[in-house]
Amino acid sequence: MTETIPPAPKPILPICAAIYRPVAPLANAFMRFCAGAIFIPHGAQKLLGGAAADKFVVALGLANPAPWAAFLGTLELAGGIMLALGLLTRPVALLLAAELLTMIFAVHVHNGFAWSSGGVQYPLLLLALCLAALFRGGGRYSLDRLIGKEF
Amino acid sequence: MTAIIDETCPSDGAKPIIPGLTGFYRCAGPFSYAFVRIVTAALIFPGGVEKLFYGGVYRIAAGNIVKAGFSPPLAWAWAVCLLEFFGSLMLGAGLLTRPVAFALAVEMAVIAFRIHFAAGFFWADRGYEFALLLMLMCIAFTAGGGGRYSVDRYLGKEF
Repeated sequence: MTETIPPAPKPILPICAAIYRPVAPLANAFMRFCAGAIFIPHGAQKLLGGAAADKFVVALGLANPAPWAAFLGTLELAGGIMLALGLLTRPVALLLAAELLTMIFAVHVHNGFAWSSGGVQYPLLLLALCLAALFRGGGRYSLDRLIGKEF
Repeated sequence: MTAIIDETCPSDGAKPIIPGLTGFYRCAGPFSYAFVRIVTAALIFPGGVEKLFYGGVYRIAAGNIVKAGFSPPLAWAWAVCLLEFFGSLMLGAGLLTRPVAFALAVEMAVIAFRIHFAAGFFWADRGYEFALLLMLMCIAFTAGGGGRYSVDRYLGKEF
């Protein structure tokens, strides 16, 4: 079944249509790729540096932070790669969104809004991107679509 | 010209492993692009408010604008202030989406690479990753335009 989509308006500068036509369908996949890719350094940081490497994990005040850092690091590294590639997009996006919600309510709300003081501004953007991936799945350019199965 | 943005739902291709979720995906999927656009705009907007109404424009004119090497500082500070305030409102509404998103992408690129780059990647150390992600999102909106739920689409005209 094919979804009918209303046609996009003609650009005011018609020459731009030639630029938009190849890149516009990539916009959603590009957003998903960037969201996944930006998690990868965080996962690597937690796996290589342990719990002490991430001051927001330290701020959780866990009694035994090492296994949690390993778990979150694995989630962010593997999940980031899978989200970037669009593999099991929705389950991965759900797990990352759950992690972000936890961090927002446990740590970042106490730092206010501004990202520069460790506030909610940045994790809210990541949460929005994970929720968007959860809502729409991998989309046209994803391993999910290539495999032909998705959650 | 047909659909500009890939706003298709799983119903046109892959079958969900849990068929009961198809209805939810069909409802929510088309909103995801506008959702990210509105959230991105909403996260930039408070910066514009702070610069316009709480003296932030003079703070950056004496600080980050000079650090980034722009002159005259006060003129650039006002440009940044007005771009963040009105630009984020327009981006959220999807009005003149592409020009506004492009201007914001340039601003975020300068913030990422001229101001926060020296602090490294991680935001815990005031690194560049947040400005970089905002820049990449604005590039996505420059490529994708307003999409299905935007003032641009309502007006039937867009750049």
